[in-house]
Amino acid sequence: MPNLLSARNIVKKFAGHTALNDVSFEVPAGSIFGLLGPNGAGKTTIIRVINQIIAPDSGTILIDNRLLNSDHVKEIGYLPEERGLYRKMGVGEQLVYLARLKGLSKKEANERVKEWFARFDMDGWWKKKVEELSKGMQQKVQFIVTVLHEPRLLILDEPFSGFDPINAELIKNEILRLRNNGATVILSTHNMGSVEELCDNIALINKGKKILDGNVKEIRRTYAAHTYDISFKGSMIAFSNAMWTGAELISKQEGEQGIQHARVKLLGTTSPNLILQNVLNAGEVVGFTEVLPTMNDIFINKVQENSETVERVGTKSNLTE
Amino acid sequence: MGKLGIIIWREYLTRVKNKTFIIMCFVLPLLVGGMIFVTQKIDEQNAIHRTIVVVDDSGIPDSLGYAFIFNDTLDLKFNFNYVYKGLDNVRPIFKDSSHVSILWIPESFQGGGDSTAMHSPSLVTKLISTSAPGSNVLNLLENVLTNEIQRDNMRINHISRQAVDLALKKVTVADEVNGSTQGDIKAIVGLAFGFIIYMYILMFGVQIMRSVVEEKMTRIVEVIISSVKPFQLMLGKIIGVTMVGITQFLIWIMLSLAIVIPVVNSVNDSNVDFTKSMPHQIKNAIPVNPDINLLSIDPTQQTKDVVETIMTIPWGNLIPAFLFYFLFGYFLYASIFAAIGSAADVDADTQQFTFPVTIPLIIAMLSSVTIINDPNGSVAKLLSMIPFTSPIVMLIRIPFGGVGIYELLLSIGILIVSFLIMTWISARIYRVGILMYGKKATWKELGKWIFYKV
Repeated sequence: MPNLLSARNIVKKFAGHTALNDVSFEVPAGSIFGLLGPNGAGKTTIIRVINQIIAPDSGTILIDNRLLNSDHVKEIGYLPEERGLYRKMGVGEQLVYLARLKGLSKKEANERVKEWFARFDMDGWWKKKVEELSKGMQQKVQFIVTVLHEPRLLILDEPFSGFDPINAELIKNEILRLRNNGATVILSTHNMGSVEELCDNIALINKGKKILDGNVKEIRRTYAAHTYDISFKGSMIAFSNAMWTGAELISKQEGEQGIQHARVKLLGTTSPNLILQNVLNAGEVVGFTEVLPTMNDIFINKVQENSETVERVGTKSNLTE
Repeated sequence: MGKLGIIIWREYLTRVKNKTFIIMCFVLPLLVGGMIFVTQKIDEQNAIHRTIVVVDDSGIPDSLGYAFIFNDTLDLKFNFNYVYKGLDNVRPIFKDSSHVSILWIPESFQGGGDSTAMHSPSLVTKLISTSAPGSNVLNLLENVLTNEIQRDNMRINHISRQAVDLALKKVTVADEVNGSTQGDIKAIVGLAFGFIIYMYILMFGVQIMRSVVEEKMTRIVEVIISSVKPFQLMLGKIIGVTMVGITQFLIWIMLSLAIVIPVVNSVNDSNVDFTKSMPHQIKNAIPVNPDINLLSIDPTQQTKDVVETIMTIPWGNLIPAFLFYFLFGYFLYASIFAAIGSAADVDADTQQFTFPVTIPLIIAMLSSVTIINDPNGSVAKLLSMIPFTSPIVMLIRIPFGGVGIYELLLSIGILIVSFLIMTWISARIYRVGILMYGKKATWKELGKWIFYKV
């Protein structure tokens, strides 16, 4: 899959601190890309750079292998984390205005707004002022602002915040639909559940540096901690003995109909086959599945690990001074 | 339509369609119309048909007294039927007549007299009225009496009438630049133009600031500047709001005329005399010269003078100068207000910045008195060079004439250059400010933002 967007060695310094330190990543066309990181990591700065709101000190952004330029404005749809609309302006009028700023003609903008009104059940909203809408309704309007000009690249900063579960589902389905229609999506979020569910690739950023990137499935496999869930009928003591020193029991739970559930971590070079052979003698195995780490775990581990490294390096340099 | 055009049009439309705007468009002309109506009515009450009954207790019947020196004017009628009837007899007759005053020359009144007399003669007369006459009536009576007594005294002291007239020759200082002596009207014209600019900058500058703060507060600014450049947004906003202001002023002028003309006509329906429709205050403002008999002044002469003065105002310079100083002066301040708005998170944050910015405007308005007294003095010259005061000060000066072409060009040049520099600085502050949240900006901070790379 060719890359729609490449960020190469982006550096951005603000007075006093480095917001982005040599950040590079690739966003394949037609995929959903997760931009992850704790608060203050530099996600919004990257997004602003891609949106040409601010310029990087060095490094380049390529879209379709062409340097980012003002023609790209109409190909990008941006949903900022802090949502904003003109409070006193009518919904329809506002959507048309913002679409025209993205380069749509008045006629086109009018037609598309009507289409989206139909899609989101927003009949009768045209003349309503934004301040008369509930927060969830405002979010819907904001989402339409982002997608109205049919951008090839959608940048969504925390798209699910502020939505009730029904509307969150609506938005999620819209994102998937747009992706299936060929759009590329950059999703910045703290909601790791939605990352696992939606994202094909991610980049994890902490303190202005990229600390992890790649395909979500591959990353989870890489960080798989040789952990397995085993379900069986029989005695838990016999099961523990059977594992011998090859594996460690992390947790156990007694389920219905006498089925025991155990989570085990394989130690050393023990293979899953060996453990399975051993436990087969201790009872009737009904399930054996590998446990992949959640993105949440990976996120927390990587960020903590990274912070410790930074601190350790910091301490060392203090000592040498 | 380009993106700038789309922004301008939105800024314009949303404001013009706003209820407050529409209400403001009607309220001010109605207020002006109402005020003119009321002042006209009051004026009418004051000015029309006051009768002065002259009672002279000092003279002997049929001798030369001071009773008969008065002549009727437009506003005053003199009644000489009771001159020798004595105050005590006359007073009860008129005690219920509101537009009648009694001018009483008491027995003790000694106008002409021996210059060697030990005591100065009493020169006190009394005006007795049920409703107070204006000070102009008193002035007129005093002037006429003073004038007559001075002449009498000279005659008594054996100075011949011809000698008196020769001695009292009046000197006129003709203003060579203006060709006229009536500075008041020029001051009014200059001040009016200066004040329009002052009001406009304050009213609509603040609107721009509010609008920037609002966009920042609702965070829509981030959506917009992902589509257009911050400078385009700022410029679109400034131009849009300017157009709103111009629209409002045009509506005001047209509606005011539509309201004022019928009002003036209804008050003076039976009167085609020009001076009548002129507010009384202006007539009073015309200086009273004690050496000429006011009663003989032809009222149409006053109108002619006013018209002549208005004609001597260099309109050919004034109108283009007004348009220029209005636009550039406004743009200069508008960009500053936009920058201030961008530095604030909420409206209240702007106050610390707006006051210092408005100081030059206030100085310009306050110094208008000095400038009118000496339109080409050093204060006037200095303030018409400083770009923050020149839009107001120059317009006060121009009606008086005497602003050299090089001086004007220099002032215009300075304003254009300052406008460009200020817009550049403001745009740089603006593009940083609109993305900054949670930090209460200081002047120092704003200074740093100018040099930020974004």
